[in-house]
Amino acid sequence: MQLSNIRTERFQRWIAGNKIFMTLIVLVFLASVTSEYFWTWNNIMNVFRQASVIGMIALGVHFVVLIGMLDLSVGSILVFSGAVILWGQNLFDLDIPGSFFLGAASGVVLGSLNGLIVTYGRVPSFITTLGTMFIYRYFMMWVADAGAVSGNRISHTFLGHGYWLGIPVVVFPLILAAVAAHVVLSRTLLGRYLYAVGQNSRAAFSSGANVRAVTIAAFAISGMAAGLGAVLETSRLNSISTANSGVYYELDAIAAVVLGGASLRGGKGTILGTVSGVLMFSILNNYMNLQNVSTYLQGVLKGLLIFLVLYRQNRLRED
Amino acid sequence: MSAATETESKSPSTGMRLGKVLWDQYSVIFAFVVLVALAAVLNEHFLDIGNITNVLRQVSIVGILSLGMTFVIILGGIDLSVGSVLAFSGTVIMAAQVTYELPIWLSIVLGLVAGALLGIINGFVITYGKITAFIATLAMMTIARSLALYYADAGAISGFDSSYSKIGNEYMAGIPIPVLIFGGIFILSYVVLEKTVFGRHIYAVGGNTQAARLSAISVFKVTILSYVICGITAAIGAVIETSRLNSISTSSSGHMYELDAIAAVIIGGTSLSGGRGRIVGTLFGVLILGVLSNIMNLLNISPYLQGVVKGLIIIAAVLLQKRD
Repeated sequence: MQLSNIRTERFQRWIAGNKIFMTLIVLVFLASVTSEYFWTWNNIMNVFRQASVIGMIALGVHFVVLIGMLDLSVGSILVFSGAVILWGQNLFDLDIPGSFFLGAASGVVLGSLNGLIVTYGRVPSFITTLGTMFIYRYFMMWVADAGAVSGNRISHTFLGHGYWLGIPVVVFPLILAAVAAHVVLSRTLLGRYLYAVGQNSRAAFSSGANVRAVTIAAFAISGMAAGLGAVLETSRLNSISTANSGVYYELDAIAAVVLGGASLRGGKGTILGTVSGVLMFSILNNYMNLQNVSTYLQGVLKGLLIFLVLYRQNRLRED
Repeated sequence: MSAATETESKSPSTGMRLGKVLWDQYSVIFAFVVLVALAAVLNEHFLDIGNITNVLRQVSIVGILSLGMTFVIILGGIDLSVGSVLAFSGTVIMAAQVTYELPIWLSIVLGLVAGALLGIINGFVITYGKITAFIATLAMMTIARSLALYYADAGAISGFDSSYSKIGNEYMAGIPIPVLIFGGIFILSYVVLEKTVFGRHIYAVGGNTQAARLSAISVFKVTILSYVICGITAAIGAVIETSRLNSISTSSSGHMYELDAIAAVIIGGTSLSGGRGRIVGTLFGVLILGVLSNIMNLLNISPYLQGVVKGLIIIAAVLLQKRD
């Protein structure tokens, strides 16, 4: 009797803490009721497939937002890593594991560079990553003459188009990354420190956290996620456009993270929330396609969704 | 107070202290002068009147957006929607002229009203809705662009009245009209920010919102007005942009302008945390970016490398300017 009471109470608290997840479920329910095509296996898989790249990036951006900073360079890192991956494939006949390694490694390098400028240069993260956003992308555009970089490995396209157990292959990396991110944030020292730095970096410093190392780690993880996102992005067409790929992805990712309940001031937000935020945008687009709403209007609904979900949610904010 | 005495005790001589003050206040102007001197040495045609007016004409649109952006950044906010607001206002202007055959002056008024309206919504959502400026204006960015795309089916709307294209292409007293508009709005912004009570209030709210509220400043009003100013400057940018080609492209007009405007404000020395910054700095930030891209064009350097240099300058400017 008592035990079940505690359980219900815990469950109620969990629901209160995961409002965005509940909103997602309501949205799925409404979509299923109003469209007969929505709740079919193929369509649901489509929703996941469409969410995969932004989802991967958002998981990384989540870490940076958690410490109260921003990473605007992830769209450019995606382009940079994408080109590196495809060149690596062409030169060394890399298979899928090699591509993932190359994507992650190049992303970690670029992300760490962001982190170094933020910590040792003491340049605000917004300005640092605005600068590197220009630097990374235009460097690759210069190298590739603003054209596309294409790969010639057929195995790579299996990632973008193949199925395993009836599920698009491209969804598995996203699920693995989400689980890994959740474990890091909830079960490791780094996770504790990330929340601590985000809530009060001075207090975190006083209690022994190496704030600089934690900050650099957050940016490295964000870069790595963008590099992994590049593997997924390139696998669709086996190519990447240095001028057009990844444009404004950083804003989509940040919007998803904030929609998922994280605060840009840091210290708040769960991976379940961020994944819900990403899926919400993806479902919105998918549903509007099913209902034949003009693609051009999708931006309006995306913006209104942000307004609606976040409107006066933060009543305690001081300013 | 304590900061001032600390600086005094640390500085060994009056000369160095003066140097520090000068550097803090005018480093962006020094950088600009050095850049111009360098450009003049590197290319003999740089100082030609034709080239100088070219630079000024090229920076005028983003320059006007940067002036409005300075208001909201000093306020401690940001406006990511200016590029999309430009496209939206441009669509309103061209639609008024082409579809509804309204007179030119009325179409311009409608465009400015549209910009102001989106600014009001931004300000309202930020203050009353309590959504962070970054996220609120990000949402507005997708909404305004999306509405423009929907109206024109992602295409362009072209006008037929050739007298409208005079605004973007003709000269007055030997100066291109867009440059005159840019100059006029600069003077206006300078006066508002530096010489009026409202300007003081923007600095106060950006510096310490709570203190501003306690000194009976209406944070609500100041915030909304600042975003309205930002929206109106975007709409003025739209007037120049549309009149240049007598057309608006709903998919590409204003694309990424918000980032260039923010970059110019940052290079101009305004702090993103609010409360500190000068409109004169923004003017020189705009000019630095313009001269840089011009001299690199004259030297035949790849436009893509110019993007790399722009990124480096953004970071370097902040590395050199701020010291706390």
